[in-house]
Amino acid sequence: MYGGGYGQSYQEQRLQQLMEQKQLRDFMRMYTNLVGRCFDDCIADFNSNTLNDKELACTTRCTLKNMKFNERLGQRFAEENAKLMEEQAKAAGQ
Amino acid sequence: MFGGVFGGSNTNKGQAQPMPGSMPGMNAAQMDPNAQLAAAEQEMEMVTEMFANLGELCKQKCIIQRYHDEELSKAESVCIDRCVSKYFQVNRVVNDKLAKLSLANQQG
Repeated sequence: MYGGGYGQSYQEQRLQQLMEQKQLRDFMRMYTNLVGRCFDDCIADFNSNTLNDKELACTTRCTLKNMKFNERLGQRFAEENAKLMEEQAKAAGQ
Repeated sequence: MFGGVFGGSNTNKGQAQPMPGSMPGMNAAQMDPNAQLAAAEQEMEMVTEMFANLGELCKQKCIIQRYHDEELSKAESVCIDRCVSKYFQVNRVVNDKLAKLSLANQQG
């Protein structure tokens, strides 16, 4: 990533480590958010201590839909980010 | 001011979140490695923060929270695309204005 073909420097290793930590943290955040969101949107009453069919179906759809949402958002974000980087590179080159 | 705050654009395939993969656009070559690392770390932090923020906002604005269907509807999909685009535009405007302001402050 920083160029230079000889093994990994301390900084490279550290960055790798940071990325992994961050990915884990992102995943956990995503997971908690997803549970929270689907619970909030699908569970309306507490007449029973188990999910009824409707709640279960809603939760399933909610999970899948939100994952698709995240996927699409990620794609668009990457595209826009690339565009922005390009602009900045161009501006810096002037 | 926020020069090169946004990371590279490599997405990890199959993963929802894009991870910044490059150094900041700032003249990284001139900085010592530890400063580079700190900058990269900060940049990553910023990009993830932005992504999470964007996600919350666009979900709120675009997704109908009824879940009759597990698929994104056409309208929702289009809304997401536009939402991201507009978010970046707003980001540009704010960034520009702040940069100008801070420049004026330095000179004034």
